[in-house]
Amino acid sequence: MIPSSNIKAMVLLFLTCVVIRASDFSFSDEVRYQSLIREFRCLACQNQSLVDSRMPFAFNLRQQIYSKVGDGATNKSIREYVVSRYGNAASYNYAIDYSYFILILSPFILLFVMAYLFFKRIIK
Amino acid sequence: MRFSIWKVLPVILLSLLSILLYKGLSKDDRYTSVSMINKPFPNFYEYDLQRLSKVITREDLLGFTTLVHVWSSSCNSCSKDNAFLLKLAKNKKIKLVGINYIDDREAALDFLNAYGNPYSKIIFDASGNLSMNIGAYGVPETYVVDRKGVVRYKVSSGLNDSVLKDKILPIIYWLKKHDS
Repeated sequence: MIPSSNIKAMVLLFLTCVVIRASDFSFSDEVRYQSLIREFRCLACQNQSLVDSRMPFAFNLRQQIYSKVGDGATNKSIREYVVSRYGNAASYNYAIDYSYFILILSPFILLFVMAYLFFKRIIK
Repeated sequence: MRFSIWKVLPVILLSLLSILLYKGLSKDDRYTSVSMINKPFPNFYEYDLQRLSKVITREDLLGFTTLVHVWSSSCNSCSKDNAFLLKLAKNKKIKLVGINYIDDREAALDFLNAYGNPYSKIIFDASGNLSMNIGAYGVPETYVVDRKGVVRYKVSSGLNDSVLKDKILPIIYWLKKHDS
């Protein structure tokens, strides 16, 4: 049996949560913000995403993105904002560079070459 | 013994790979945000670190070739950079402006008392937003800004003699000649 004062406290706590959530930052904004900050790399510690990083610069950028999302800026304009400052490399999904295809395809090419050699030997 | 390419090829491939990997060891693969270069310095409206009653804006950067240095009292190499900037400050043709990145004001002033103040103005960037807007991602960073307020060069590491002589000073002299 929970004492009634505890229930009151829980209800109050719940209400404060509701009040905090009821800012102009809607749930869809929050989702958008969360997905956006996962799209970018931390600026100084480059193996971390912006979400992970505790660098003050990452904190600033998160704050900036947060306020931009709150202001209703589009995802596209926010991406442009980050990329114009920190370059393509700051984003995890930047435009496809065709020179990377060699890198992506090389294991498969190697696989086919090996398979060819292997079967040639077996057939012999 | 018959010469066979299959005996030599692995050796060649392995040595080529070792060369590649060895070179990769010393390669600096941190990206540098060069995307702000040749773009106008962003507008700002920030307090003066030394006199909080004063405000510094983008207008204060115009009309001079300016070296903008982002620093903080909590960063280790900033004191080293400060020594370089003090040398540069003797050159009256260059205007030095500091951006104090998110710092305790007292600590920043103590830093200046201890190591000397090379700057003609110091912007108190308490929120860090100005530093972020100019594309900085660490302290110290140095920017060369021309008379019209366009960012011309950026060093995203500490200063040293070779960076100063080979990169920063030639650009400043080039700007002096061509940008009047």
